[in-house]
Amino acid sequence: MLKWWKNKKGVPKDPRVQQNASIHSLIETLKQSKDFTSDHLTGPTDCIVSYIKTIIEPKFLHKSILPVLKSQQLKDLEEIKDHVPVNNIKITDDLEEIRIRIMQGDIMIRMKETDDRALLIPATTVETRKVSIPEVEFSVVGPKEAFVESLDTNINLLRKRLTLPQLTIREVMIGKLTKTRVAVISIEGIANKENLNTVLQRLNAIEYDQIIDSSFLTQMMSDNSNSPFPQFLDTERPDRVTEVLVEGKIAIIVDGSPHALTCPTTIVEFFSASDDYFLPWHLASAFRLIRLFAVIFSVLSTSLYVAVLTHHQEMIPEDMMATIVSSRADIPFPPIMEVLVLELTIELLREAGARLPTKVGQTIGIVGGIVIGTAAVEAGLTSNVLLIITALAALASFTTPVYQIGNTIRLIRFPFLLSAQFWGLVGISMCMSFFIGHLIRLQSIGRPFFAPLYPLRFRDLKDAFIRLPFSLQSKRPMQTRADDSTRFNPNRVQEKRDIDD
Amino acid sequence: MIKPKQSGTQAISENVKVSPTLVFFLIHSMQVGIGILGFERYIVKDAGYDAWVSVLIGGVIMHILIWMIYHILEDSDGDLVSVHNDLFGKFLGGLFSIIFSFYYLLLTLTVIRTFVEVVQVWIFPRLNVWVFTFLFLLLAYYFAAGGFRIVTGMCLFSVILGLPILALKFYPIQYAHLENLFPVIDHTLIEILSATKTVTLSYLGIELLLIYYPFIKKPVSSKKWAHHGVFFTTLLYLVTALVSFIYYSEKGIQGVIWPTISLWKIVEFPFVERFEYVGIALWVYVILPNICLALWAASRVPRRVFHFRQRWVLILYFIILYIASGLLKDREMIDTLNDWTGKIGFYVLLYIPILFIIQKAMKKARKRHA
Amino acid sequence: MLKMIYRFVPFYISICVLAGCEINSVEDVAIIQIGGYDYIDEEKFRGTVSVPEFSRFETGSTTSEKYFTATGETLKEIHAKLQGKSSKPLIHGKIAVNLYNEELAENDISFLLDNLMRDASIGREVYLAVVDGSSKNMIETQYSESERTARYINGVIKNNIKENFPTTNLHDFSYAYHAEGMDGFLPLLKKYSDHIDIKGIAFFKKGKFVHTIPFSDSFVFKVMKENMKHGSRKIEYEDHDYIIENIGSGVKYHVVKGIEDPKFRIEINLDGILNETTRFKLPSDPKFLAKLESKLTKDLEEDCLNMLEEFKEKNIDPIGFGNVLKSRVRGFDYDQWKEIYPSADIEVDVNVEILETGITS
Repeated sequence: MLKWWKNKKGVPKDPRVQQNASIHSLIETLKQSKDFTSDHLTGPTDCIVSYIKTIIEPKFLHKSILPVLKSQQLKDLEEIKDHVPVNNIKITDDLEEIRIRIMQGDIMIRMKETDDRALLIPATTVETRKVSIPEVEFSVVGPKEAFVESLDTNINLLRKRLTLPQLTIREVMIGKLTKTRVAVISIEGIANKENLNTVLQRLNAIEYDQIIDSSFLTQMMSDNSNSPFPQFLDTERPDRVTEVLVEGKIAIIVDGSPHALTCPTTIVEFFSASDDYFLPWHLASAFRLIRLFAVIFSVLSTSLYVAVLTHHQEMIPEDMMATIVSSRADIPFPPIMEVLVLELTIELLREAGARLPTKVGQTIGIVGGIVIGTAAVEAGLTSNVLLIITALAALASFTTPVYQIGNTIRLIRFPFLLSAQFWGLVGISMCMSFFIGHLIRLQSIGRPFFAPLYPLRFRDLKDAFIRLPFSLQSKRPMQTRADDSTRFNPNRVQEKRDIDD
Repeated sequence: MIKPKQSGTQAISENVKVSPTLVFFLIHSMQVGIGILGFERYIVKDAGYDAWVSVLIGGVIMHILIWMIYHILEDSDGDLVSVHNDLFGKFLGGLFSIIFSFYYLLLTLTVIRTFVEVVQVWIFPRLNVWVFTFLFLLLAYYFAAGGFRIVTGMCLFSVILGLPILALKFYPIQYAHLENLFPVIDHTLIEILSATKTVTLSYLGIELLLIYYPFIKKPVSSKKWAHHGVFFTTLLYLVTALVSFIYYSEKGIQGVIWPTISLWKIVEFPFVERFEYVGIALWVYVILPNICLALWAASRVPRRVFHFRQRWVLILYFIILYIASGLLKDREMIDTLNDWTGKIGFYVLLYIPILFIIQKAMKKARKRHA
Repeated sequence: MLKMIYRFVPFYISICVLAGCEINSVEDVAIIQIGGYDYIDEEKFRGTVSVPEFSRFETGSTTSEKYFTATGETLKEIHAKLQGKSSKPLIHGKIAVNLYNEELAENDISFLLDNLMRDASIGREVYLAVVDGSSKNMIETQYSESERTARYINGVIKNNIKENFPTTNLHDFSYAYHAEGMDGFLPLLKKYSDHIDIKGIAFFKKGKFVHTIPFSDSFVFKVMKENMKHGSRKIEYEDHDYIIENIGSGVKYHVVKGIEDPKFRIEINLDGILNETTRFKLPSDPKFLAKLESKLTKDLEEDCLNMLEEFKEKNIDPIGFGNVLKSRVRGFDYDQWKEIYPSADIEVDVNVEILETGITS
């Protein structure tokens, strides 16, 4: 998958954005920006304080650093380091480190303009959003915190849920220009080492100039990047991430992105909502099945309509014949055109709704749907039967708890439609077989994506299409190949008490 | 002395192997294919409505053959090619193996062409055979090129997706004429055995085990599953035959080319009638593993014998299949093709006990020499 | 990865180029729902079909229909002529009722049956019926404001099969047609000015219509032919009429003697409830119900025997005694059976039980 990125390796690096030869030239580069400040203090301590003022906390500079420097005479960097009441201070002459830390919001102190050694004091201030309620994966019951754009806050959200020393966070920097911090989170002793290595290896292999969001990684790291199916689960709920970490999966959080990626994932995971675990198991199972049915309906309903109306008229029962035929009586298009027009209209509304500001978007969605739909039926461009089917199919595609898979469902309808037009039900079957084959072939970080269906894993089926009670799920899913696969000792739980004990 | 193994189980990397449970699906899905749609008619010609006994006998024979195949393979710890090389030497053994490759190819051709005929007769009389077979073969190629794991996956899904069709058998039972089955065994043993011969053709498919055996993890524990698979197939054929027998009259069934598809005609739901269209569409899943597995096995043999690249063999076979299935035009030719495949398949099945005996004899002889 | 794209190039090209065959969607075809055939002379016959017309503004219960008629010597010829008269291609797949007039039925309808069985698009639950009169006339009349003719005739037959009329459709008829030792039967319809009646049962010898019984006797035939759960029967007893509603009857055939000198016994067990009488109250006689039961038993046995006698006279076997014999004895010889059937001995043994008499005594 990385072939394309790897090709870029050969391209010579742009020297201007890369290394500066010395501290001096670094400062020269920085001085071009208005917000870079370099003050020569001549008070008791004679030193140069340089920082980017838009990214440091000025209060901190004024209250913790300047008073120290101005109240007494400090001769060298070591002495300053001892006196400034902050930890994580570092003295270094490593240019690369200086550059990175300055850019991240450290204050640099040097004794002389020509010095190569510098003292770095972290004083970063980053503007972030407050932790708010999840908007994409909303749930009625359960925790209502969602990730934000700050990596540290996100890790904080996880740490407070998993107070385990084994919760390990590895950090990688990716992106030639953006130098984005990417955290790989796993629970040592549960997560499979091989999985972890695959993830780290793939992260390190990424060569690109910018990583703006976690979805960049989804595409760059996936096993088959031509597949319409996402091979990493993308979530904004810290509780969901906690759940999968405990199962032995690995989470990837990108600084600047409010979404965590989890892997290895399977197709069924995309249809399970966090609500499923908050409800009693039978209710949860029923809702899951409804969701699954909705997805199948969404993918197949319109293509079945095309297949039956164009090729298999005999299948329509006598009682429905009148309804269907009279609704199609004066429509100039063949069913396939009718469906395509209507599907595209709905996609249009959906796209428009997503791009417009929230308030306007809602109005467009509802008004557009009703007005355009009714008008099309009145004008005799589409049949009302189809309008119902398409609207239901669109509605059904929103029942997926994970947003990404909804996009996939939107897209894969079209090949089904085409094949229905060509060979009716047989065509649909062939198209379905193709997708089954594709799903069997897919892998998520080297683990089968279509599990627990293929390879068939009965243990994992307990939490796939239905969710059995917690007491029956004594093992972690096989998919993760967890190092420690036992959740609890089932014998202790299932000890039966006699009547009236 | 026993010769060094040509290519034992060790030669195949662990991540392309499948678990022994899946042998159930491999065996079953390969056996059930296009034959089940119309085998009733042929066996009735031989043994009337006592032919269900033949179905049972056929099932028992398959169990014995499976047992033999496992013996043959366990002794050599390889596949058919290594068995052949072991017994007949490189040249003759290779020739025999290549014959098997062509047999598998013929199997593929029969299945695909017969299915296309069903589609032509039942749904699209004006179907463009060239385009349709091309796409169908492309689909099969996609699976076969994915390797054995993918093909096995399709077998699994084929069985799962085919199961609901079984439930449709309840509809014809409403029209049952149970008296058709009586008196039990009113035919001579010869007639019943000749129907058994006919029915074995529908049971073809276990001989692929000879090729994919090394791809099974812990092959010994898969034995049980293989027998379960055969048993399930026998059961399925028995139910199919019995349901058709009580639905059609004995003279009537001989005039129906595809009794099982005709049975689906009476299935009715409030929202959909005439289930044969759905049935035939679902049959795509049932026959796809037939084609994929046979195609995979056919292309695997030359790789083992000549060390060709399997992908190129696959493409070559793809072209052969495509042209051959396009050239087969009418019902008569397809019937002849089925007939021939049946005959050859019968001899292939007959070859298994022979191979079994030769191998046992050789083993004994070698032991004595050693 | 590019390989995959290459893999699909021929896919799309071939689809676009080669698959452009004509396709008619459901509103562009004329769906035949009922077809009728009439006898003209030894060579020719006439076919009539009815096609519903749907229009946008009258959804649901439209009653408009179009009729096409053509004569010819073969079915293909008639279909070609019918096709010529229609503005949309005619589709046979949804045909629900097929009618034959009496004369045609007397002249063998095997070839029409063959056509129905051969066409893959036609179902097996089509109703066949014989028409007293012209089937063209029957099809071209509108019987109801809200129902199309095809649906109306379909409904008449379907409804009666639930009650007194024995089960019949294309499958049953062709089953009997092909079976050894069994003959088929169809409903016999008659058209009146504004409705259709089932006049009786038309019995066939293979493809030929040879015998008929009135509708009033169909209850008798049905209890002999199959297990039933509905239907009613009138008894006349001591100047009063009583209606017994059948709530469940079962029939069993016993072979008493084999093929040489066949003897059958039909055992019928009938559970009924009394639900109508012509008198005000039932007599207080405690044995009354028993008497009523024995009267019904006697009546039924007599009627059955008479009917079977008629069948033997006409040499038809709609009950399927030959089929019964075939399944009970080894070495059944059909030709021998054909010779013997008219002289076969058949007993009828009816057991009637009246379970309830309603909510007043």
